[in-house]
Amino acid sequence: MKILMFEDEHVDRLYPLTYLRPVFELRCGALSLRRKVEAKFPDCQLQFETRPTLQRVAAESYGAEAVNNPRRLQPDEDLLLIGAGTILTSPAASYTGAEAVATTRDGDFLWAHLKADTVRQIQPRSAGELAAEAIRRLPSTNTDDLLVAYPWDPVKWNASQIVADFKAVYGQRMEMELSEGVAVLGPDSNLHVAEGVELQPLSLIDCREGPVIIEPGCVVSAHTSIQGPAYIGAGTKLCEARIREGASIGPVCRVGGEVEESIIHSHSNKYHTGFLGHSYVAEWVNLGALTTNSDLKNDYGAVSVYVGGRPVNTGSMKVGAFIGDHTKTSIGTLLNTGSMIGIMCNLVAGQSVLPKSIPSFCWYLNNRISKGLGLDYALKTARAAMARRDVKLTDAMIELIKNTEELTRGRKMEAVRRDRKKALR
Amino acid sequence: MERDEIMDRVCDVVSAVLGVNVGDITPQSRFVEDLGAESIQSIELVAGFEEEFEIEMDEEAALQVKSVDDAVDFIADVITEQQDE
Repeated sequence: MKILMFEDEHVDRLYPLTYLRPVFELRCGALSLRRKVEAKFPDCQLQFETRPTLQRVAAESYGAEAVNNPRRLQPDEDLLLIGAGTILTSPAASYTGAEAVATTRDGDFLWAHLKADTVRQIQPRSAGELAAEAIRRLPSTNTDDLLVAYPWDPVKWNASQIVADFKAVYGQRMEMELSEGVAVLGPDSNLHVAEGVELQPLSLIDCREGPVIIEPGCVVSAHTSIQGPAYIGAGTKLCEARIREGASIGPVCRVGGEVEESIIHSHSNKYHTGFLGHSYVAEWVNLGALTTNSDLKNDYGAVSVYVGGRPVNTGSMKVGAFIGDHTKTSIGTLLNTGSMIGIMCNLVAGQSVLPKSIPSFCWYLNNRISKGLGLDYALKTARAAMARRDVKLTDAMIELIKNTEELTRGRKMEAVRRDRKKALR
Repeated sequence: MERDEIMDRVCDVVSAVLGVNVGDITPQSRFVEDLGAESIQSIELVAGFEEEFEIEMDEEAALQVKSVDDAVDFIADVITEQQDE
């Protein structure tokens, strides 16, 4: 069986998290959405269909043959077509039986299992067309599978997905002797500590409510506590951190302070005191000391979040901040409940909480949204940040960032002008 | 708009943003070396000029402006361009 994961026309609902990555590279639990599929079907070859603007970047990761290959829609064996935001929750065998299609209650595509002959009959020009035709032709099946449709979805399911990934991929493993003075609460069967992890005395791992996974090369300093379910990615350093349930951090992050029910992608730092809750932080983000976000309104109402410039009711009471790649915050930055911050922003704490929506490439300075110092300056800063971790900003990524700057420029200028008018009133 | 008027208004903005006396600002004053501007204040200067003159300045081009005289020339050009549009 072949597998094709594809991005559909709703990808913009996940901006800014998906400006610089395919939807299936979003994380939920211990793994990205792509890695979950790979783990479920280890013997199947994966192909990907992404936005054209992401093709070069995706090809750097998976190989040019695997991305937007014209042959992806001409399978010589069964095809499992999976939406890029789908999380398959049932055993692999559930997806390989008779031809079937699964959608959400709202009718959004989740996956379809198609015979090669069926695909040949349809002759689709894109995976989206194939999905639409599958919905029309194939019997639908009931499913508990999940769809990451909005930025708050992976956060909402993160704790339960850490548990699922632990069972599916990790399981109990202790590859090293714990030092004297490391406290573990709960059963060892909920603990996975890889080789080469430095757990310092006076650190606390609490597995009573869920598993804790600590990947190779992590350093957990004294006075750090980790409450499961939690995932700490390879090479991450926790410095006097309070990691509460439902947190996925790393790989290669530096984190201190309090983190609860949040996802932090690789190479992002929050080294100092401050609270991050029910939030999703993309790559190469730096949160300055005392940066804190609200994840609960004082009236306990449902939180709304700006998606595509319009507020969307999440239906949830606990929603934090969504922060795009390469964004930096100053010391003492206060983020409002349900904040949506674009990529490559520079936020300097103001007299109050920041606006809930700050478009990509903006600077927030002196309580105003400004247009910043331009793309070249943003790229220079990104290069400098990445060089500190021996990572190169590739030409493909530069092209994608430039495309994103063009795509988002209108919204940025609109926000700058609106803020200026407000100040003049 | 006459160049002298632009110069006066540029000096007012520079004085307000960088906290220096108008009397200490000369056409040759360089923002960083002579007036002590930090990179972050470049954004405030650009925003200040845009509001003062009701123009829009390209960020990258504006960053090449190093002195008060440069700023006056740059703004004069932008005003002309945006009047022509």
